[in-house]
Amino acid sequence: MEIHIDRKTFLEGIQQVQSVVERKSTSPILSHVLLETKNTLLSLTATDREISIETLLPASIPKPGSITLSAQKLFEILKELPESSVHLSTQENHWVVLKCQNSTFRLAGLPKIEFPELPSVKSNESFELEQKILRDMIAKTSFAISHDPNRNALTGSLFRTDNDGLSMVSTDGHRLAVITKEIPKDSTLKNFEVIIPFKTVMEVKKLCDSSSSTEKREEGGLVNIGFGNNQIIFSKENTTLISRLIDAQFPDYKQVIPKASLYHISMNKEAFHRAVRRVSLLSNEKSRLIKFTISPGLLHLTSFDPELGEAREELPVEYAGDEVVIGFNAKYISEFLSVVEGETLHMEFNDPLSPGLFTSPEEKDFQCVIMPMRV
Amino acid sequence: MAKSYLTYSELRNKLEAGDIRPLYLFQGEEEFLMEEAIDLLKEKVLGSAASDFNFEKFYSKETKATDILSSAETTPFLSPRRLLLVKDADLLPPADLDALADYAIKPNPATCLVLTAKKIDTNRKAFWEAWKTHGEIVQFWKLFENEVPKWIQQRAKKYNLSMPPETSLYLYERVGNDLRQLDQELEKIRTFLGPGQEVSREVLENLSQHIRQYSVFDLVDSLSRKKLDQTFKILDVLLREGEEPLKILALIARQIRLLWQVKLAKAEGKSSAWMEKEWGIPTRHLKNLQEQEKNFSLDRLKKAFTRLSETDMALKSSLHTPQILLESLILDLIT
Repeated sequence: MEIHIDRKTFLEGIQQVQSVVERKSTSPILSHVLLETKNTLLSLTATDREISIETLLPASIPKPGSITLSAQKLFEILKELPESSVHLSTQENHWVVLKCQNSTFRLAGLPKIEFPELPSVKSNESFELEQKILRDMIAKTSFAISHDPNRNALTGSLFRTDNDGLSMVSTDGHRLAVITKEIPKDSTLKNFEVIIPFKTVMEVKKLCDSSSSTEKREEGGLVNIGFGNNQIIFSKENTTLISRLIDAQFPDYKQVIPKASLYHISMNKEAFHRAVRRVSLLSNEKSRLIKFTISPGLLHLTSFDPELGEAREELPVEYAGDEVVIGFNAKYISEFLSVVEGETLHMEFNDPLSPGLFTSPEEKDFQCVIMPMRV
Repeated sequence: MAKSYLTYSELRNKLEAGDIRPLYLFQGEEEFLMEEAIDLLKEKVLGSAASDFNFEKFYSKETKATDILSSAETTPFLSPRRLLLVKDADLLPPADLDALADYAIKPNPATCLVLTAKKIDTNRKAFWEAWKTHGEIVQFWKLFENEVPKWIQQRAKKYNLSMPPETSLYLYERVGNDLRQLDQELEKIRTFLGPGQEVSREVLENLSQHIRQYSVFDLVDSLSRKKLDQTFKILDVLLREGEEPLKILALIARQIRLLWQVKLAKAEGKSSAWMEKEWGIPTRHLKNLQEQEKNFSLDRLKKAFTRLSETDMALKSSLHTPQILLESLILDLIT
């Protein structure tokens, strides 16, 4: 194999695929990226056997072929090379020589035959979604995904359609984030429900973030999403990502979202976020609890750590009911506030031990439920 | 003095009666029964609804008390309770155990926090005081040799199999006292025979492998109970597996010495508590020794020391095989 490729294009391609590579794998081939010529394009493929990603790059190909190289090493080399054309050629015993201006590297490769075959997925159903919508859905919900491997169903995001629209839902049993987007009326999309693993969710977000040009990234191209054989496929421009789905039953999350609440509080989101950040500095390290005392027109935030001291802050709010005290984990509130848009924040609940519903009137399709803590 | 812990069967009765506490410590070596207790607790605390939301497992090696306590203080999702399981709590750093002790003084009634451990350090005074006062300590000991056949029979009943006592004893001899392994064997037999059938010795010979493994401790236990055939059988297995004859002799000598001490102390009217404290022997082991010493007279034990010394010398100098020398010793000690 022999190719000439622009260093920046090559580096962006490697960046796109290398996070899929298994760094701690016992199988060395899984730490490699497969380089393979396909007509006038260079294909880069990486897999951890759960997720596979392929991206196609323009290159000049005097001699077609294939080889696999350590993804990490190739990335490190390309990062340090000057802006110029990279010449890559294979030699006997799977050695690879990489040249760029005055630099030459001789790298040990492995043959393609050792690289796992990618799953052949026949997509039964597919649809297109604007990448900015998909990126937004992931950003608004991924923070609530559980990282507890014992709760398989919660270690990914639920992606589903029903009469309400297209939803993405994540929960770790302490908070739940759900975002629902409208499906165009003329869409023929059938209802589906799948759980996408956390790692895939983050890769798809990266896929949405990357684009061949900044303009396209801002405009938002389309991502094609297909399903089949317990796999999901995301395709955008020259990149395709295939991932297995989580084979589990996602709990009935709709039951968790309060239908009606007794206490409703509205406040300025930014002021609230800043207050939470400040007060949480002295929240109890063991529980990260912030106490919210809500009285007509005023919200008091307090935190206390027996070893550090205490913090208090008050904030004007729109509230006209009786005084009520409720506690929340500062981290959960803060993570939600970091992603929600709009100037106003709405908080509602039925009593100090029932779920707190956080929404923004300017972003009605996004809801976050946070379970309170004992005060 | 009232017992400060529950047994598994006492816990089961309490849970069946709906008595669920916010704090449990499951302590001991019998992991199979411990896991069974956790499953029962899961069923009673969470039911089937919302169990994904409300069951969390923490591994002490990779978790901090902060995470456990933050979860413990959080209201459950769609369920009256949240169930938190902390595995291998004896591996938690002392500061984290202290933090759990603080929590135990006023636990969240909507959380059921279960710690499992082989043994929590008794020097963690704050922890023990808080858990003894506010929680429930459940002890999961390895079953005694004579308890296992009975357990097999009860388990067979659960699988809707009928098992005569001699058959359960035979299964125990083939498999040993690993309850998980015994359970798997019974499940296999149930699959083969179908429910409602009687398990015969022939069925066991055809279906169940001889997988029992012995240790030198099994040998000294069998010897102390004066079970000649079994002691010879264990000795044979141990020597074939390459166990060092001098190590076997050393452990027999240690056992005889302990039996001698217990017998003398008993004759002098010393209490069990005194013996535990003086010799640092766990209650259960002492109880065992107290039963076993009844099988030997003082005179017999005194003579045993001479035989031990002779065997030691012979093992180091005689032309006889170690098996003959040790069998001869065992014969003299038992008969």
